[in-house]
Amino acid sequence: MEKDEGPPPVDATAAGAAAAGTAARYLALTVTAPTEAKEAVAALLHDAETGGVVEEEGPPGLVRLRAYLREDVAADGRLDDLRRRLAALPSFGLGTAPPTLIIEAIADEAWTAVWKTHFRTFRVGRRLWVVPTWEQPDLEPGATPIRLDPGMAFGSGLHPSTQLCLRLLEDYLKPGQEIADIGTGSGILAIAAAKLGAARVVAVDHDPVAVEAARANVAQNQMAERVDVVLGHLLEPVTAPMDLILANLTANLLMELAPAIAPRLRPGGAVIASGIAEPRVAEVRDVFGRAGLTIAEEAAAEEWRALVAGRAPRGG
Amino acid sequence: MAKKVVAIVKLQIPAGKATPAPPVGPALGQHGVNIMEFVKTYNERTARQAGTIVPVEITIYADRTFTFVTKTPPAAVLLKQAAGLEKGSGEPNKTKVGKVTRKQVRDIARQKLQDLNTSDVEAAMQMIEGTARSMGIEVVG
Repeated sequence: MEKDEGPPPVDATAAGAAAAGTAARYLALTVTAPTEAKEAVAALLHDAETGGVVEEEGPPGLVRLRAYLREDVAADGRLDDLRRRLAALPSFGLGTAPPTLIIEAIADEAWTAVWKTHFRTFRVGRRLWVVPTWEQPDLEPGATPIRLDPGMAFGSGLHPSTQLCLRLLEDYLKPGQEIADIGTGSGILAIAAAKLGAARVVAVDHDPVAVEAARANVAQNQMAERVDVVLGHLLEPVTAPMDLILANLTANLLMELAPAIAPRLRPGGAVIASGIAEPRVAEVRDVFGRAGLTIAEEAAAEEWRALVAGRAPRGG
Repeated sequence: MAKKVVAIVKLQIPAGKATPAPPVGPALGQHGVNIMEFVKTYNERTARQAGTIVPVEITIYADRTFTFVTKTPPAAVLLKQAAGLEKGSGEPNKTKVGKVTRKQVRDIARQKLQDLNTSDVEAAMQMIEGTARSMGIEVVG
């Protein structure tokens, strides 16, 4: 029934890479298989250590599964193994014809450009606006623009957890304060803090890609004198006590961070902790309480929660 | 008011460990979804299932926002759990690495029924049995 697709499995040419004119880093493996072989094919693609599988509907009775293999690891025989095992599937009662395999080279990161076409200027909070670096909008008087190219780092300002942080930052930040931004990602919160009047911001991320993106965004906003972007784990690079600690992370990371927060806060200082999915907020509140922090506010946006907490009075 | 759906994307990715690299990047980037926003949300929601594959169905709306639901693990993962195996056989025709009972196959078929595009448990069982054999797992009993 699949004669017109050639003798299976079939390899196509690496036309994608040639057309893109760049060295491709990934091979896209597309397997079209009888529906009944779907789970077995997915397992074979996972076994090839592709990092995941995309499932698409195929022609009637068929399913299309796609996975990606980094080109530099594809030469070790695992493709031959995959071909051999796909060809054997009918012998296990999974379809009458073997699945077809098409291999195409793709240029790395081509998809980030597609995403950018949908990223437009938008307002967050009362005064803050996120402005993509490739746009030049006329903003209303008094507006504070954060010029941003999130690249591959987290923090486009679109996520509810980031929006909660920006809103709370407008409420709690006082001009002249010293601030730490833990898990800075694109640097959006650090830049916002500096633009709202912070005297100095230490922005930390453990991901070198994020550090690079954040530094570029800080420079775009001409805030390099006040914002220091450093590579490191959570609060480790922050040695002096701060007035405000921003941590837009995850529930697990916030709980890991909790014991280090109170010792790094000045008297009267606060932490804005965001990135907590609603079902986990009680757990985080509990860990913060045991770490000597008193919750001052809980804010919500969709399924996300943010906590504002200060140092509990001693002996309390 | 219901938002307009522009795409539904189905992925099988490691719980708590999604990254912007393929397959997530190309699958979502082409629909205008901010990849990192999905990665963060997925990892947060599946952190407790780390070590297994958790399939996810992502609904993408016209304003480029998205929602997603997670599904039961793939049949191969459930078969390995049922047979008490770390991995399947690399030579399933020659080397058998474990066994599952027909009852276990039926349980997995029921659990996966919705994801197998069928409402017929017998048909689903045949798919699960075939998947088991392709991994070097014998079906007994």
